[in-house]
This record gives sequence, structure tokens and C-alpha cells, in this order.
Amino acid sequence: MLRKALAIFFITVGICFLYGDDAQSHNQILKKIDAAITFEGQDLSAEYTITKRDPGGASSTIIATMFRRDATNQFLVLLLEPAIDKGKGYLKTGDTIWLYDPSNKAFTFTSAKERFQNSSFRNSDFNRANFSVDYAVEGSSTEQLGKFNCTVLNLSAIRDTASFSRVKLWISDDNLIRKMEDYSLSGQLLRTTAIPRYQRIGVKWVAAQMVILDHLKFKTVAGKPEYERTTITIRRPSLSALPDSVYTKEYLERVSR
Amino acid sequence: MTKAIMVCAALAFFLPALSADEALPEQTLETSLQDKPESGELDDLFADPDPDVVIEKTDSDHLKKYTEDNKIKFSGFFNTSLGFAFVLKDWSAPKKNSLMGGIAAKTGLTMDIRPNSDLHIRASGSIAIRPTGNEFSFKWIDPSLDELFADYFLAQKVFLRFGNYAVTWGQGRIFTATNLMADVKDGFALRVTVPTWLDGVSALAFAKKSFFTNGFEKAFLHACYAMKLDKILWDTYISFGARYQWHEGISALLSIKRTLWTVDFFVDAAGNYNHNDKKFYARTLAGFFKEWGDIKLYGEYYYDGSLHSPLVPYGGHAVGLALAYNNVGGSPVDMGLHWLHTFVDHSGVVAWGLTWPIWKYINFKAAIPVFYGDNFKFASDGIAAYIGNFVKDPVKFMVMIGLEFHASF
Repeated sequence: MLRKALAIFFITVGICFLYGDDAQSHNQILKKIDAAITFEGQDLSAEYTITKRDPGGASSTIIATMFRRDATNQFLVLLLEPAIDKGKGYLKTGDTIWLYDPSNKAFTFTSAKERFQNSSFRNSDFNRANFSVDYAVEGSSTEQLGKFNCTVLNLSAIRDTASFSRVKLWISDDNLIRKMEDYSLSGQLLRTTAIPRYQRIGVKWVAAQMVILDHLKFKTVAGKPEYERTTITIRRPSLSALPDSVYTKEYLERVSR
Repeated sequence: MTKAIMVCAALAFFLPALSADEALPEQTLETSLQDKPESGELDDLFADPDPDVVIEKTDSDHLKKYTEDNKIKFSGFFNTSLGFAFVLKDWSAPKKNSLMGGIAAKTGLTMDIRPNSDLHIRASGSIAIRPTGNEFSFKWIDPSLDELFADYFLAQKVFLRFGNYAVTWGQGRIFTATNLMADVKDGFALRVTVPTWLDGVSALAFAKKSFFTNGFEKAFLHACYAMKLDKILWDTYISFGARYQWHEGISALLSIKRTLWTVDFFVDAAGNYNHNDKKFYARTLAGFFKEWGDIKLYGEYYYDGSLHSPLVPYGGHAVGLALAYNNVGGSPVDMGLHWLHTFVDHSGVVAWGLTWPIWKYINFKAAIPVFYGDNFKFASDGIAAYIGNFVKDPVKFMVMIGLEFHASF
């Protein structure tokens, strides 16, 4: 009986020892990921082309310019195409996202968790990465993803600001997220994101292309489910400094023609 | 590594003591996540992806196309429509109806000038021709200057706008009476905004002809002055604004909006006190807005305390509901349903509308409003106001169809 109790005690301590050590190293990985794709002290701007293909074939394209300042958690997104949405803009200041519609010159208050222009891309996807703060690591493994040797981390959200309750990340040896699965609290797979290619700017990285499958929107075609597929291409990333006034509602109102 | 060896050694010593009595339940973290074979559908992208690239040119100016390119830009539109309406004025007398038709046209031009990133000048105007009544006669509407203003960003901190432009306060989409600044577009206004204070602080001074009933003497006393503060607190939008004008007294508006369960809920509470006649009245608007892809639904309740009288002892109450469905069933057809009801005289309107782009620049439009109740005096509705321009007597039922040509550049 005493031996059994001691066994349980030492096994528990051992697991905490090992797991605690692993948890710390996993959190370090998350911090490295955040650091690799966060631009502290700089403004990041780029052109986004978002092509959405509905299950069954119809596709639509959105072209937008994004301006982001990670130090203050702000971004501004201005739509260029389609023509009907030209002039619309999204402005994030703090935890608030404003949508400006030039047709009625009105600002509405929207959520980071909402879809960007009804695509699988969310408003929060324009945000700076914050995995090490928003999530805790529940488990890990290794897996080969094509030509990439990946560490796979299972994360669960620890803050309300996280867009998804649970996330699974495939991280390549260069500390870049190559694939991501987003899950609901019940464990339902909501979205799969693949980032096969990055572009390096200075010592930081920005995705060059992303492909997102929306598992909530699908149609059965030839006996197989076909999911809504969104392809995001990010071009001409720039670190040009931007004036503070860019991240204001008044500026958004001015540049929206 | 040393820690791992120590743990393994401890496990090797103590583990048999446990296994003799019971087996540990097999539990992996993977079992809590749904196994979806489809999640591997994108794995093919990693078989032979293009290599990561290094960006050498990192100084592209993406703002330029919004601020300096096209220093002068002209845009405009031309719109003409041909329509017919069948109007029934009395349900009990179906023969009391009439058939109407008409043509209307409108054209507008906008000039946008941006000499540099701090200065922006905008002017827009329009001219229209509309039918005058039951007979096929038309009149030109005087050319109107819709906007003429200049924006200036002072030291990238303070935003100034001067001229003739619209200002929107309040959150109503159906009922807009809580927009205390709806009349700003009828005059000239100077607005100063500091966007970095709270979530925006604005002060505004504006003047229009009706303010100066005794000429322009002491004009600064009779101009209208307003101020508005915006703040987001605990995911809730809060705005407080107030305006004062000598003849009108002081009006204030408190707006609150919050998103709950992906639905926007909002409340506007407005009040006016006129020191000239010592009278006070309140107006309240409450509503919701929800969007699912191409479908939008919004509803509002409106209370107007200015209607409080012996005939209307509890003020005027009204409700409105609107449903919009764009691209019905994946087609280019847009449909809408609109209901307005006033509790003052229990009258209202239910209207259905459709827009169908049948050809490039050409839309087919149809609308069927059905009116009920006797008077429909209170609710302010775009359809009723439009109809009131042509139909002198009360209307019960209408069918309107038309073709619209719209082109913009």
C-alpha cells in the first residue's frame, strides 16, 4: 500500500517534471512563432488578393491593401475590388474593429471573429500573431508534412479574444506555421489553413500564399465533399513608416472615395 | 536529458507496483479532436512547394495610391427610370383605382482633389427631372450642390472639415429621428476632431439660414454648436453628443451598442429642452441588426415624446422590420421586405421589393406596398414619402414596376 502510494506520488512528480519542461519548451516555440511574424516597432503594409471558390465552382476575388502596426495592435484594410465594395474599409484600434461603408458614410462596429467580406478569412487573420498569449499547449507530436519536418502542437484558448477554441499547428524547423487546423470547443473541425510559402523581410516573415478550407461550407460533388476554398496571396510587403493618422476613423473616411 | 533519465528510472522502479492492480486508461490528446480525413486535403501543397523568398525592396508606398495618385479625380453617374404604378385607393371600392406612369432622370458629378496627403477637397452636385403628378408632365429639379467641403489634417493630430456635408449621429437604419445632426447638410459647418482622444472627440459649429431670424447680427450667438465623445468600454460602444442652438434649445443623445450572440443591439436616447418655451421631450430608439452572408435583418422600435398631447397621451410609438436578401439563390436578384407600424393610429405599410439586373446597366425593379389603417400619419417611411409626392388621396395598395438604366464612371 505504501509502495503503491509512493509510486503514484513519484510518477506524478516525474510527469510534471517532464511535462513542465516540455510545456516550457512548447511555449518557447509559440513565442518564437509570434516573434518571427510580428513586426514590433515597424509598420507593415501589403497587397492582399483573396479569391474565394464556393463549393460547386463559383468564385469571387477581393483585392485589398492592409496597413498594420503591431506595437499598438492596429490595422487598416482598404478594399479596391470588387467595384461594388471599393472604398470600404476596416479599421482596428485596440479590441474594436470598425467597418466603414462609403455609400452611406457610416461606421459600424464589427467583431474580429467575423468573416472578412463573407470569406473564410477572418478579420482577426489580419492581426498580429499572439499564440503564446492566447493559447496553452495541450500536447505535441512530430509529423512529416510534405518536405517539412514539423512539430505538431495542440492548443486550447485561454483568452476570450482567441478566434477559435482549439487550434492544431504544424510548425516547421524554421519556426514557421505551415498548417493550421481550427476547431470549435466541441472538437468540430472548422477551418484548415495551409501556408506552403513565406517571404522574408529583414529578419521577419510574412506568408506569401495561404489556402483556407472552410469545413462548415461544403457540397457533395461526385460523392466527395467539396469545401469552400479561399486562397490569399500577399504581395509587395513593405516596412515603410506610416503616419499615426492612418489608423484613425477620419483617415479611413478621407481615403474612401 | 538528465531529468528524463531520472524520471524514467523512477518509473521503472515504481510502475510494476501499479500495473499489478489495475491498467491505466488509454488516453491521448488526439481523441478529443474530431478525426477528419478531409483535413489532409491541403497536404499536397507541401509535397513540392515553391521555396520561401527574400524580399529585397521593402519600401513600397501603398498609401500613395490613396493620397497622391490621381490628384484630381472626377466621377459621376447617370440614372434614368421608366415606371408604371397601379394604385388602389379603397379596398371597398376596387374600381376607385388609377394607373400612373412616368419617367425620371438624374445625373451627378463629383470632383475629388488631393494636392497632398494633408489636404482634400470634394465637391458633388446633381440635377434631376421628375414627373409632377397623375398626368404625364415633368419638371426639372433645380441643380443641387450635394457636398462641398475641405479636409485638413493638422500636424497629423487634428482633423478639420469645413463646408457643406452630411453628419450622422445615432444608429437608426429605419427610423432616423435620433440623428440630431440631420440638418447639418442644409448649412455650412466646421468640424474639429481629435481621433486619438478617447475613441474620438469632435466639436462642430454650423450655421444655416433659418437660424438667423433677425438677420446676421450677433450671428455667432445664433449658430449651432455641438460636441460628441466616443468610447469603447468592455466591448460596448458608448457615444454622448449634445448640440445647442438659441431657438431650439439644447439637445443631447446617448448611444450604446453591443454585439451579443453575433447580433448587434443598440439604443439611442435623445432629449431636447427648449429654454424659450420651457418644454422638454424625449425620443428613444432601440433595435437590432443581424447579417448572415447575403441576408440582412434589422428591426427597430421608436418612441417620439414630442407627439405627447391630449390626442396622443403616451407619445408616438412605432416599430419597423426590414429583411434584405441579396443574390437570391445565387442569382443576381435582390429582394427586400419592409414593415412599418405606428401605434398612434394603428396604421402601417408592408412592402415587398425586387431588383433584377437584366442587362448591363439595366435593372428591372418591382415593388408592392400594402397600406393598412386609416391615416398612416406618423411613421416616416421612404415609400410613403415618395408616394405622397404624386398621390393626394390615401392609398391602400400599389403595384409598381419599372426599368432603370444606371451607369457610373
